[in-house]
Amino acid sequence: MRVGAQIDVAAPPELVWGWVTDPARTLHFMAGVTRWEVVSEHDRGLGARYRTLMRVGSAEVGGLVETVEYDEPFDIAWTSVTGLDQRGRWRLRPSGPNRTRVELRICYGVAGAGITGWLAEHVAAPTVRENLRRSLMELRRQVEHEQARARAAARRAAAGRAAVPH
Amino acid sequence: MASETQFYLQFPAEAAAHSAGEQLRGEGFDVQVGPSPYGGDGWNAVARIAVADADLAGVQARLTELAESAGGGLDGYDKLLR
Repeated sequence: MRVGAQIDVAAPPELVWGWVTDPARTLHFMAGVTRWEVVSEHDRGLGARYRTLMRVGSAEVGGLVETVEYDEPFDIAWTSVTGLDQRGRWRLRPSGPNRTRVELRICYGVAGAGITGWLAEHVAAPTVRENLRRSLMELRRQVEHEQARARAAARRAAAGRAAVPH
Repeated sequence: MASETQFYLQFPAEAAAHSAGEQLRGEGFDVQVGPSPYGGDGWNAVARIAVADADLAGVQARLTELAESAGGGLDGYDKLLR
C-alpha cells in the first residue's frame, strides 16, 4: 500500500525541517506512531536508525528503519531494515513567502506474507490515510505555534531593549 | 494511472461549505460536508475523486479557486497510490 498526503504550512522550510528530522519530536505529531527510538550513534542524518512501532487497529507493527536520503531542508527518506516492510519520505518545498508545501509519503506492506498480508494492508488503508492527514495537521499546528511564540518573544525582547534608558 | 484522492476544502461558514459541495457533486466528486475535524474552526468539505498525477495540479487549482471564491481555501489532500 502506498499513501501520500500534502498540506501547506505557514513557516519556512528550515523550520519545518527542524521538526520532521528531530526524533524527539516525532511522537508529538505522528498519529499512530507509538515508538521512534534512536538506535544509531547520531540521532539524525544519513544512516541514522530508529526502532519504530505504529498502531494499526488493535495491533502494533514496526521494525528498524534507516535514513537513506537527507537533503536539508527539502527531502528525507527512510526504508526498513528489519520488521514491517516500509519506506517513507518527507518532501518540503517553498510555496510562497514564509510558506512550505509539506508532503508525506509512506509505502508499506508485509513482505512475503501472501494473501493474509495483502488483506491486512488493504483493511488498514483508511486508517493509514487518516493517520497521515492527522499527522500533517498536527505538524502544522505545532510548527506555526512555535513560530508565533518565537515572534512574540522577539517582540518582547525588542520592546525591552527600547525601554532601557541609554 | 488515476489515484483516489481526497481534497480538503475549508470554509468559514456552513452554507458556503454546502454550496461548494453541491457544485462539486455536479462535477463528479463524491463530497462530504461537516464541521472541521480535530477541533478546527469553520466547516470542511472532503471531495473525493480519482485523479491522474498529470491532472493533480489542475484539479488543485480548480478547487482552490472554488474554495477561495467562497472565502475559504484548499487545505491539502491525501491519496491512495497503488
